[in-house]
Amino acid sequence: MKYKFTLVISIIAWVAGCRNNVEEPVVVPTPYALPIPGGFPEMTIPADNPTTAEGVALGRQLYYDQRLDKDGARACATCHLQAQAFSSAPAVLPHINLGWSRKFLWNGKISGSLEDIMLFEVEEFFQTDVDVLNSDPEYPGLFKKAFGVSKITTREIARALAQFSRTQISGNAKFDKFLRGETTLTNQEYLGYELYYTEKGDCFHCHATMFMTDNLMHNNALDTNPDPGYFTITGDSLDYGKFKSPTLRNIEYTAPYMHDGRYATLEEVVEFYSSGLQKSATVDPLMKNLGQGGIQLNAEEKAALVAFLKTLSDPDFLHNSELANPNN
Amino acid sequence: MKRLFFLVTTLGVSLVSCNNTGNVPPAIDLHVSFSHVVNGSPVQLDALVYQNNLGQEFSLKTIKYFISRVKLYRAGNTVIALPDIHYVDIRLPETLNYTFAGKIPAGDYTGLSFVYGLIPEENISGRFTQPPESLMEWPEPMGGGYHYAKIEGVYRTPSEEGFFNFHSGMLDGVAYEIHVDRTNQPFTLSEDKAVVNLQMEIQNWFQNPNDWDFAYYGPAIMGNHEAQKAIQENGGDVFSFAITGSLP
Ligand code: HEC
Ligand code: HEC
Repeated sequence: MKYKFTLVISIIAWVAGCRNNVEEPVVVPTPYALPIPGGFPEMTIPADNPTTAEGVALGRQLYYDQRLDKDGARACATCHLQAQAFSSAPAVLPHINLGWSRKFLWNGKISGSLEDIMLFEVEEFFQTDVDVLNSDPEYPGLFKKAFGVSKITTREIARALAQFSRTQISGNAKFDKFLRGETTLTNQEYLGYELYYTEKGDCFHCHATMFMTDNLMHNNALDTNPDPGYFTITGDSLDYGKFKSPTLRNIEYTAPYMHDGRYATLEEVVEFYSSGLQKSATVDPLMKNLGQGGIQLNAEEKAALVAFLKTLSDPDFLHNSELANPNN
Repeated sequence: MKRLFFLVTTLGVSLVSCNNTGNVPPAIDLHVSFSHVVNGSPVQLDALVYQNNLGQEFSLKTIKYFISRVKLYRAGNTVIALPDIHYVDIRLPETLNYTFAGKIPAGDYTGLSFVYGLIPEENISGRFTQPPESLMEWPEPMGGGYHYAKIEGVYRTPSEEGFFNFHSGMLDGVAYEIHVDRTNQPFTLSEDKAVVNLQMEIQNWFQNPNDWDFAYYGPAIMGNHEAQKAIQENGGDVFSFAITGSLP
């Protein structure tokens, strides 16, 4: 309710702000209600970038357009493949529920809103040439409808991409249905669920909340001489070897695993947490039994944990036509 | 909104009941600032420089907790109850000072109590939807709700080094009510003296009456009744407070 109110206000304010130099009738973009799954919290959306039908459609168009790239060689979707929950090998982070995220990239380089990370992607990673879009026959009209601007800048591109990304919502996995009381877990999945959420397996402290991530930086004991990770950003030696805990939603589709793609399967990942932990100075206290190599699961428990992780798979997300390439 | 209403109602009631002299004391803002010490000195994070009664060395990496249900006791048995729930994280400066939502009457007080964590009725999964509070979740398979507190670090004994995750929660369905009685030394809260400096002595979590053995309890105690009970018993003298004029 409060959100809707701010939305209306900001649209009015923005429309009013444009009045002076615009002769044509003012087009107000259509508010877009995000399909927030049951049990998920509200998404915090910046007041200056309300989600609109025009903005989302434009962001989707851009996500699949190679012309965003300075060299025209790749689109976002070249690496962020829907069939793999918008990830790909070896270590492309997936785009899943990023609208609730505040920390981005493996090494935590970008903190803030989706608009901030998208601006980084557009300006630094793709080095988008705005002239290409400004001289396109269609884009200027689409940006005008979505943002009321006559000239496209990287700011609007980032805002459109952020709006689209807010719709990349996954909340219909078997696990969600279980939580909503719509289905039951098998005995094996249930054992895995208990391992995940109790001290025995203890995945939940970092892969936390319904997003299966705490969005914080940790050293999960991968290496004796870890890659620097978050240290590169903060320069603090206590941050050496820390990486962002990734979401485990749709983890079945996003192999290989870890920031360097070192593990090909979930079985390998679970074996690592069970017996493969390596000591280094900044390992998180939550990595139990570091001296013994990890949580020491037996074969049945390992299989159960993998089975539970697969209940986080949401096939509807991979097949959601509203997230697919609009040109197909 | 509802919270505020509740508060105003409580205050209204308590003000009326204090009104026997005919003077209504001015309503003032109440602030609290949180500090954390070991053996009386400010916590030095990430340094293996502390020792418990058993001679085990330890360091501190994480200190996170809720306080709620703060009550102020006035002479004449009136109680001012504040419904706020506040989250504290030693690494998040913005959580180390807090101004309560409602006002309290200025005057003399004989004690302060609060709940370390949450009372069972308020310890309901889903109550906090945004971080950092939401990250205190205590999963359903262990009973649901939230951690009351997480204190984490490294310990070292002559024979081993390990982690401790001193996580407390509603294992036995009881609230950790902490009461600091000051009947013999009443304190005054006024317009220019309304900051409660609440100090946590970490060392006291590990002693009196139970000497905490890091090696015995290990890194994971959320499902451990004996450990949770020991923490509760040790909590009695962990907190102390002083009243000052302004926020640090
Ligand atoms: C060449 C492959 C590639 C292309 C093309 C690409 N990305 Fe990525 N993307 C990656 C990789 C690899 C990462 C993880 C990099 C890191 O963390 O350092 C990533 C990370 C991200 C993240 C952070 C996700 C998180 O959880 O922190 C976002 C957002 C993102 N990309 C958006 C985009 C957008 C928008 C585009 C198009 C403008 C794009 N990417 C194009 C490979 C790519
Ligand atoms: C101390 C926090 C922490 C705990 C506890 C933890 N993880 Fe992780 N996890 C991480 C971090 C950080 C990464 C990324 C590490 C990297 O790539 O350097 C990660 C990565 C992963 C990945 C790979 C994700 C991807 O997209 O590549 C999987 C799968 C995973 N963890 C599963 C688990 C399971 C299962 C458990 C419980 C047995 C667990 N984690 C416990 C912090 C944690």
